[in-house]
Amino acid sequence: MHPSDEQLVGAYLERGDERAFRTLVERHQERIYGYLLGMVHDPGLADDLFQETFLRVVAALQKQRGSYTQQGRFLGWVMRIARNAALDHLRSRKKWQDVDAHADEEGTSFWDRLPDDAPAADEALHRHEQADLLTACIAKLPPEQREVLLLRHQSDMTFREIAELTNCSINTALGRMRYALLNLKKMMESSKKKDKAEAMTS
Amino acid sequence: MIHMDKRLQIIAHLYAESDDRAAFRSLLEDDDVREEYQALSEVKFQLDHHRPVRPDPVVVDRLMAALKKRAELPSPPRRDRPAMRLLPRRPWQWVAAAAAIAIVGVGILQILPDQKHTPGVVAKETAGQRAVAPFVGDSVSEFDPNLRTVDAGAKTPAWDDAKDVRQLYRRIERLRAHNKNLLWGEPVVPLEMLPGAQPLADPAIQQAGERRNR
Repeated sequence: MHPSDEQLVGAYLERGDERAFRTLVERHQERIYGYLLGMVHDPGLADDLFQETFLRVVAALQKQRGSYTQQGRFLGWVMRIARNAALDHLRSRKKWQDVDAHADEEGTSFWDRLPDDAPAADEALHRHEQADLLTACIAKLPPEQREVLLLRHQSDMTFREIAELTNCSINTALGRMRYALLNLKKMMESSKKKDKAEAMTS
Repeated sequence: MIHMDKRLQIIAHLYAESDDRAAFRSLLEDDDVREEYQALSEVKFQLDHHRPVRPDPVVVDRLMAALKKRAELPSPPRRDRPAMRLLPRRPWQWVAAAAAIAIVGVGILQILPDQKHTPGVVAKETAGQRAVAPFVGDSVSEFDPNLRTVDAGAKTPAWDDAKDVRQLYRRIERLRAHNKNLLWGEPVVPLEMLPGAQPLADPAIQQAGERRNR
């Protein structure tokens, strides 16, 4: 039987059991790292943010243990710290703008009204494999659609948890997800058409 | 035009966050909704099979080393405690301080022995003659009729240092034995009239007896 997250945290804090904490990190590394990489698109930077996230986690646990248990799942608590680390970086690079404060309940925000940039994306994406194409398309999504998609698919969070984490309503989170899927579909179809056209000419 | 609620509902069904199967079936009866659901399902399928990414194993090793190093570092020095203010800052603190002082004062008065009821030793009258009570170490006040007598076995109060009183009593006893022939209240007698007195050598000094006889 696998120990719970709370048991592993307790083992690390009370007995200094490093293996317990390593187990905890490895258990959630894909969810957290996948989100961070999707947000910053730079593996080296995502590595740094991943490490920064867990350093903040340990500092917070030692300062006030149990703050995560009051909020539910350990992963949700860590994801909040990871998100703050990512946003701190993006804001420092001015790559994140909080322009969605007036989004309506249906999730139509500033980003949703942006013109579809799939054709421009195709120029850089058509040579990639299918998986790389998908990764590149995700990277081209508007930030808030991309974040919801990453939190749902990479971090395995529910829409309710995503709504709490990103401080929006569930409908807004669902709406962002819908637009993210629709935009991905458009981008991928456009890329496939481009590939076919190139194949025909060659 | 599909109502937005329906579009959001199919997202919830797509991600298995809604259990209402009947509502889901009714949603799919709408052709537009069904078409969108199928399109989104294809994208979701690709996302579900998207390879997971994980950090380089070296990153986890580096993290654990950083945590270990941090744990070995001494804790940062504590900040100095701000200087303590002796005077209260707010009016209620003044009131509280005054009340505390009053309570302490009342408590001290309760603890201290009452001076008006200090026990003393009074000479016992025997056969109409004042006799000196045997000294037992308590303070003596023969002239206060209100003082009650105490027995020899009475305890001496801690604050009463009987040593000085005892010495004074012994001196009085010695003087009384030495002057037992003298009576208190006799008229003043010039020194030269006392037996064994020498005449004054200086003629300028007039004797008191002669001065009185003039």
